[in-house]
Amino acid sequence: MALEVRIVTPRKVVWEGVANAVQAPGEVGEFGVLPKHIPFLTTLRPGVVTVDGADGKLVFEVGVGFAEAGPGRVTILAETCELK
Amino acid sequence: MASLRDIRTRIASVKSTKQITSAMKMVAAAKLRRATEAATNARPYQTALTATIRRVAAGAGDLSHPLLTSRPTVTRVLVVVIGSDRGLCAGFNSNRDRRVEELLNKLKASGKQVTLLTFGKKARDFLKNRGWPSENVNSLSSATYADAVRALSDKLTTGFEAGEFDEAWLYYNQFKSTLTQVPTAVRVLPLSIEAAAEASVEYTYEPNGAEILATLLPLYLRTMLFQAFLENEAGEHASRMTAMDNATRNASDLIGRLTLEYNRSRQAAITRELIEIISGAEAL
Repeated sequence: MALEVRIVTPRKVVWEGVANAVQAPGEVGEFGVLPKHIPFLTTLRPGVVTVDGADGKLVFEVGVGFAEAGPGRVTILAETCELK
Repeated sequence: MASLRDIRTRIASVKSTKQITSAMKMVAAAKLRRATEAATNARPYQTALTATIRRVAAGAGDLSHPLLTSRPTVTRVLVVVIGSDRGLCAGFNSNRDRRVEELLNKLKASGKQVTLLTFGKKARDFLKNRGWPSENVNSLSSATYADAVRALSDKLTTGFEAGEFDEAWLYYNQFKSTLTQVPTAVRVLPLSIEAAAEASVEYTYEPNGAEILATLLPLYLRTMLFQAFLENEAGEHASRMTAMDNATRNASDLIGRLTLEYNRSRQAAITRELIEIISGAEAL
């Protein structure tokens, strides 16, 4: 089982794909999401999101926003986001 | 009958009009492509955000937040109209403005206090002529949407929470396709959120539900406004492109008709001269 990850900004869909794990800077601290995570919703602080995808690690710089995690899904909605 | 010279001048002037309209059509087409792209690219964000909020609503059962609460009595209403700065785009502005006027008159008849906020010169001028002065913001371009939207949504949320108005409506043109733009009215405040139909899940919130909601709802409002601005712009260019295409075609028709008339009267003049010469020669 893998995670379906979507990173979306108001301007475009920055990244969409399947990953094994995601790390993101939550409002109250860095958190990681693995498959079968409980439904979880948090606001994000500006920082670095790491996606452990099929073809290596991807690092994104995100602005404020929020992240929603479910058992097989992570959605990151951010004001700004850039692939580093 | 118009003289040859008159017809020639008309043809020249119609030709130059045609050049202008066809140039405007090209410009609108190029801008339309960019604007639709922007609107399409922004849609996933809104869709994802709406989906999340609806899931949260389903999980939380009962949402309560000032921005979601309807006031028992509505006495003051804020109407926001998004229009364009420039004309020459067929019924794009007037269709919407007529609906706005309908609503304004209805509100006035039922004794409500109305505040108007318009974007774009055309919306302002129309409503001003009908006796509805408004606060106005002009010369928006896609580069300044983000700022304008932020300012507008801040104004809406603070105004609503402070009780400056009890309801806010938004009028804009929804972009359906290049040929159809639908004048649309939405009640933006208080926000209405439908809970998702799928099985509800209990979310874990960080920091906590209330705070998340306090971030999500203004964000939702802002995204909705942003989308409205983008669609409105795409609609404006689409409408102008269609209008200018029609104008160009009409100009071509007119040039054809005028040229025919020109040739006919030229031929008539030649024939007349020939008859004069021949009858002159015969008389000798």
